[in-house]
Amino acid sequence: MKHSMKTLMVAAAVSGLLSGAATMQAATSQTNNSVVKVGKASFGSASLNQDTSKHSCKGKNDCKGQGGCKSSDNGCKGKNSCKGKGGCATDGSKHPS
Amino acid sequence: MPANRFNGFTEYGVGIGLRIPHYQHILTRKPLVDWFEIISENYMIDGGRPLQVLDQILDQYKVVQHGVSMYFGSVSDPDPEHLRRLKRLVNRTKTPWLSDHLCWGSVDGRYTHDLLPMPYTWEAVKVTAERIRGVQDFLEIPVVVENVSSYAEYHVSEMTEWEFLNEVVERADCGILLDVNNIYVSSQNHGFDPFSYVNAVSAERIAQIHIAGHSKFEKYILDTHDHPVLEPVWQLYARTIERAGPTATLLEWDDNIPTFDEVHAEALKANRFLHATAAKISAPVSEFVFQGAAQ
Amino acid sequence: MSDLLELQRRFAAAVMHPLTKNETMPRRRRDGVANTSEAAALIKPNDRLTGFERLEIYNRQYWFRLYTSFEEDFSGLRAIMGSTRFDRLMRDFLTECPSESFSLRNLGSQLEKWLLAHPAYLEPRSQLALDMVRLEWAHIEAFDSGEDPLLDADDLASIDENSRLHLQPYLRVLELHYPVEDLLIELRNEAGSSDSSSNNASVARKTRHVRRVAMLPPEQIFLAVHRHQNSVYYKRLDREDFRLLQLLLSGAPIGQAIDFAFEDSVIPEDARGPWLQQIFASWSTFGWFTQ
Repeated sequence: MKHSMKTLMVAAAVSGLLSGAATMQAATSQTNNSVVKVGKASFGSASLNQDTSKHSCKGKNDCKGQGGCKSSDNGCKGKNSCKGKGGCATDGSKHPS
Repeated sequence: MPANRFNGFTEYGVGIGLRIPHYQHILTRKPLVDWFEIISENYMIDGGRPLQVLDQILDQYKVVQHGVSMYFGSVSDPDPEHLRRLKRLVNRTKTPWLSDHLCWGSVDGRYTHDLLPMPYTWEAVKVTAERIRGVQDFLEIPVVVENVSSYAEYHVSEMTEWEFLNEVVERADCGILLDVNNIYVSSQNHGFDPFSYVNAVSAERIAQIHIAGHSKFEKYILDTHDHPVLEPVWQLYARTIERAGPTATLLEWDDNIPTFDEVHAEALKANRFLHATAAKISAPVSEFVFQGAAQ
Repeated sequence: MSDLLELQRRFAAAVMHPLTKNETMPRRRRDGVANTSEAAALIKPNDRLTGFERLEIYNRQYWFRLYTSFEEDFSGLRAIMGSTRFDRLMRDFLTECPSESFSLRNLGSQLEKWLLAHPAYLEPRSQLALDMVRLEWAHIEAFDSGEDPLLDADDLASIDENSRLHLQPYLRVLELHYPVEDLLIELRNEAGSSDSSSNNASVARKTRHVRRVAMLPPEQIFLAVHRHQNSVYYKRLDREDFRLLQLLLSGAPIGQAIDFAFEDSVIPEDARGPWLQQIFASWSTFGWFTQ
């Protein structure tokens, strides 16, 4: 790619970065300052809902039983098995198309 | 007033283990709970939901860290990455003390993820006490060690479990997290009187007590944490606080976890013993002498 | 060697040795050592249990705990392989690659590498299964990796073609051959469904989901696994998106990453500027770019 063309391409990328950052900041500020209860209609959800990300839908009960030894186990206490996984949003509502 | 120099948290009352199925209830209903115990390893991560939830809990509750993989009795040195992450979490939670188990579980860099029983030998006393001191120095907070349930005894043991525990904590100059359910489970599996254990343990070093349920099988008992506390365990608990004074107490319930309210109600049963002991302490000295101090 | 170290090595060797088909401790190990004599040498019997039986309690719970954790991490792989083949893979992998971390979170960290060296375990659906392993491990990484501070105005103002953009530690990009993210979501929905149908019916539905995907012709699929508001998301990428992110993640300067993204690209030259502007804006709103 010619140098001038690459400069233009990088400028376009930076322009996108700037507009994305500005959008994010505005939305965060709006969320923080809003006196209206926005609930789940926060910026983050909205931005993803306009996108094509799919919620992974890993169940909210991941790490059920803290790692689930078979019932006749020793050391099941805490067990270091609940690896802190499974943090899907519990509403499971984010399935953007 | 603390009942002993390791029991600086007499006022902590009765806590419960923080478990994932209860997150939603705790964060939305904000129940009145004296304190929560967290499993350190579940939060020794770099980011994500577990830490977000933890921060929300920390905003509203007292939290104490309980570890399951320090393996004070392993001969191998602790993993530096483990210690680094643990210290970072300690700084986050401001836990007033940190507990882990008097056991081993890793060798030559390989982890069993179990709380394996110690051989009660003098060599093990020395190794374990040194490691506890090292961890305590690194973390710069009080460390307390917990007795585990066990299903095997070694030929090479040179003393009883409670003698081993007393020797280790004396040399490490650390506190004890006395799990009275574990004492009961081991006593049934190894055929000793659990009150001999409770009566012999260094009462002046008991910083915290664990209570829990267990499961009976034909030839042994397992520490399953999936039931309410059984009566023999409550009796051991009563005797323990009779000796150690009112002590921060925690109910562990890790499998078949019922509703938050059920778990909390079970934990609060400890209050009848704590209040009775507190009443004795506030009575004139001539009417009550700490039996732990007398032994 | 200290007596304590020797005891711990011998005990661990027994505990970490695979169970028999009946989930009991074998009398003799693969290396010829007799567990019966090891147990007798190390463990006291009591009035109800022999030393062997007492050691067996620890042997069994070691494997039950690891299996439970591994199955939870790789439930999609299990659905693809079926329980018998999955159980064999799990046993052999965990025997060769026991945990070397204080946390079971890392139990599957070496699985992809191990499977590449032992491809026979995944046949006949090797590519589909390997795709699923990559996705399930990426999910674990995306779930609890760190989150760095976002670029500030000064950072943004100083970007030129030689700048290296940092991306969030939780972001993973994958090149796949099957739509395993859709399959995994279907399987999880199935597992989480609260209908009263029998377990057998649920397994049958999972099998149908797997069969349908396995019959698809392989295609090139690019995926970002990322996190937003502490939930993990799967996002399909175009070829150019993937190549751009791949190079940025490797630490290449932005100019070089753009060149790489457009190699053999079907995007017309005059559309590339607006395209870049749009995707960088989109990724920026996700908070992917960091200091």
